[in-house]
Amino acid sequence: MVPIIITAAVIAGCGTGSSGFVPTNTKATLALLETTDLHTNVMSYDYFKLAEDKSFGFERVASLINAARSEFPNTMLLDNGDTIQGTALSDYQSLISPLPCNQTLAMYKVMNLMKFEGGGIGNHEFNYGLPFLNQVTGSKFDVDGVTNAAAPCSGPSFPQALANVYSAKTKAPLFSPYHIITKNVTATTPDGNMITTPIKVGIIGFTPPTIMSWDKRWLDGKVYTQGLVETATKFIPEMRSKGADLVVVISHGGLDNSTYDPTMENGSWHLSKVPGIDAMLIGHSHQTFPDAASTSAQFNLPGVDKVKGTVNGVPTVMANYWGKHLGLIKLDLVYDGAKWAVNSAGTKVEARSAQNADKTYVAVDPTIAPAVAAEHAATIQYVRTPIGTTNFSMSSYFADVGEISAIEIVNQAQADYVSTYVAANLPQYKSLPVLSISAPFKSGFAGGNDYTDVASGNVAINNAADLYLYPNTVYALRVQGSDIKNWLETAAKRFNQIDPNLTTDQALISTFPGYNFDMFTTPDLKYEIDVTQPLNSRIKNLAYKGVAIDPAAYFIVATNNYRGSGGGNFPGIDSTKIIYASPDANRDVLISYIKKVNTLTLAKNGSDRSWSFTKVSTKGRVTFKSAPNKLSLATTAGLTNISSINNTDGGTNNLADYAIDLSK
Amino acid sequence: MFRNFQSKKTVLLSLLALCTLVVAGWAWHLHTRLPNVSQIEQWGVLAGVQDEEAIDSLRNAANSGSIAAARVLGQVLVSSADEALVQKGQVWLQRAAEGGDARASLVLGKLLLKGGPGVEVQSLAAIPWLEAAVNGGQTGAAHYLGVIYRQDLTGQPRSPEKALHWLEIAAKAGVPDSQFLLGQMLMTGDGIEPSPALARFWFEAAAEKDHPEANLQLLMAYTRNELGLKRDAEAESRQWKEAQHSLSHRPSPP
Repeated sequence: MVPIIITAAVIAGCGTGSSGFVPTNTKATLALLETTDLHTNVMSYDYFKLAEDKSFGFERVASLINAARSEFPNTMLLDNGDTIQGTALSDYQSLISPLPCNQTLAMYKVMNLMKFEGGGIGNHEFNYGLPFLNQVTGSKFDVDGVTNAAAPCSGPSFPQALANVYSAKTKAPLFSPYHIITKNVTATTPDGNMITTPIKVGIIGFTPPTIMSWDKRWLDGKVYTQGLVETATKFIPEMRSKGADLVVVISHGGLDNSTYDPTMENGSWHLSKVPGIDAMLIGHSHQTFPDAASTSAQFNLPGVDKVKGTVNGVPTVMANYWGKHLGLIKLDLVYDGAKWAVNSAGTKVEARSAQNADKTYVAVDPTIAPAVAAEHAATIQYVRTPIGTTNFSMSSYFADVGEISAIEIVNQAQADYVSTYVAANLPQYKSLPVLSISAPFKSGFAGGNDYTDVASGNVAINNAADLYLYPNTVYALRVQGSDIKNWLETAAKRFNQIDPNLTTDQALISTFPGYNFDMFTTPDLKYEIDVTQPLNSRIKNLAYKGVAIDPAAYFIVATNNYRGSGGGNFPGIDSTKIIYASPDANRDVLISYIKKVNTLTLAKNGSDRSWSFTKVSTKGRVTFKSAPNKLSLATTAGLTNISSINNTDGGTNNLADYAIDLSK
Repeated sequence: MFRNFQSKKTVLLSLLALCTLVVAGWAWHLHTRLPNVSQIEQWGVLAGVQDEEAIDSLRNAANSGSIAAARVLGQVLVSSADEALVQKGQVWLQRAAEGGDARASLVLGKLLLKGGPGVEVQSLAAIPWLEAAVNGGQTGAAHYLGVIYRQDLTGQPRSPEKALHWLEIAAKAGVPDSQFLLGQMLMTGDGIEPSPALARFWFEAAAEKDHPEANLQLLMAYTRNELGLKRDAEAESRQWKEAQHSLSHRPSPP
């Protein structure tokens, strides 16, 4: 193909290369290809489940890239950002076994292999801090706290652009705000000859200004952001004056038409109105655009054509996330004798899925996996590595009736994390007691297999997912004794009101979700739950260190972001009580704590019950369900008032009936 | 400073003259010297990275009567960890709020509601500022009014009805935190009949804007067949990823 083109060009007398003459009305087609929000999903692999997952992965979008390159004579492959963070692989290469300066991140390695031509910077690029970002992008940030080696470290072999983040020290942009890339394209002259000729494609990158709050711990005082519109208005004319034939915006952000603000998160709708933009690659929202069927509010705004893929007339694409889609903007270019321009009639925008119509997925590009085999294997090894041992099984089969073997370790980890933080960073609160609360997330709703169950022996990172099911972050709230009482009253909605005089069976557990059944597990705090009482009057003998709790006294309670934000609608618990909204996941905090303690024992980590039922004799049985044949676990934990009724409740969910004698 | 003056009349006349001068000076500044709002916002950005020149420019503009500069300077100062600076910031915010800057009213209301270094929590005192902010077009302030009425405070027991009223205003204006809290009240039937369908509507609206807790609520709803959702391994997996992902970039609070 290439020799034929050159021959044709020579015969036509037009020459080739940058110095060649290009006849007026010469035409070229350029397909811009976009990946976005790859989040280091190089492989189609779920590191939590330790299993293949074909529904995502760079190794599959690579096949879509190959196909597009065969289909179009000229393509330009660009990445939108949120590239280097998001899987156990990225954690491994940043936190666990930090990448040496002379090596390239697995993600960038395969992008280099696929010959990316440019990239933007997303918000998640900042998640591991500026020194790491500086290293792995091969940059030389002039920013406080970043030390530069003599030569830049290994990084992407393609240029990265970011125009709206500035060094506080130098007031200069952190990355190059834009690049003008000379791209040799094949083009067709008016008389039908094919030539190769350079076109100058300017790329300019933007990230959400909201990085300043999201990554405050890394960025505060070191960098600052500028609004998208102001920045584009400044740089796009400069790019044109430096010869850019095309201006391609790489904006890591979605669409929002509310009043423009220089700190708005999703500024791409306003950005599209800045004159001089030929195409826009967007991302961040993990959605697909264009998509005629999209119900997403941002793609149904005025000025947005979700069928054609334009925003205020600018061809725009968003390629979903994790390599599930490839974005494509086909531009027909015409040379008018002086410059190249886009013939908008020929523009076509698509987001191509890695899933076929029959629900299967495109095959992987076989060159990707071998390139990162060592990193992939090391990550799996890391996830499987024991982080400690336990001499007791940690389970939630009897958490509803007071067994805490799967709860206390979570509470201990949260309390330890918050205590350490408060001591170091919040001196004004250091005299307050730190308590910790959590709930049995897996409490049998879906049947006998829906319980936490970690066997005694080694505890590995993937066991932590069983002990802490949900993706939450640790929050510390400052509350009063009265708030704690109300908090526990709400949690006690987990139980039906029991009538001691009924002779028939009464079910103990209500429809109130297990994930809201918060409980303390510390010898310092004791309370009873009287299930014979109506709602909001069940908590009895609530005492801190042996003394009735003072309703006006202040405490710090370690919990999660869901509760701290008002989740579960616990009265009085809302964001105004937050003294620390940590960026760290409860699960990661748990992993760190187990690593620190190393040897978990029933005596120290699984038997400090804060609560018990208020004793009452009932004429009939009080019953509840759990998995069958687990009674010995309750007995071992000291719950001697539990008895087994049967080994199946007659349903299909692998549940059995148990009874609790509330008089004991 | 007035003790040397001989009569009240003299004092009054002098005050009048002073006021005239101040107002004239203010007007003169407005027309000739005050920087525009985008310049002030830019100084605010740079002041946030301790740029002394920008802080001086803000202070000069605020002293010259720029309401916007008073607000931006106040915002910069109240984000400090230093009690004295926060208290100075509070004064600037109050000046801007009294000058009609609705954004300043909102920031001041939030400061009183949440407290800060050297500033006690004064939830009830926050109410008039937040109301002024809403009236001035800062609809996000309605969120905090909703939060206050959802609380049980000394001198004002909780009012779920008022909380619902304000949260709905903010939710309709697109505030994800309000959409989430309103969804919670609707889901649990706080001050209103439980409405799982409406609760889900608001959770989905917030989740679309990457509200982590709304995403989590939808995940938990799938796992427990709540809000009209049903157990579905694929949806749960997707929703888990969304909930996790959104944790690291929650929408900015109003």
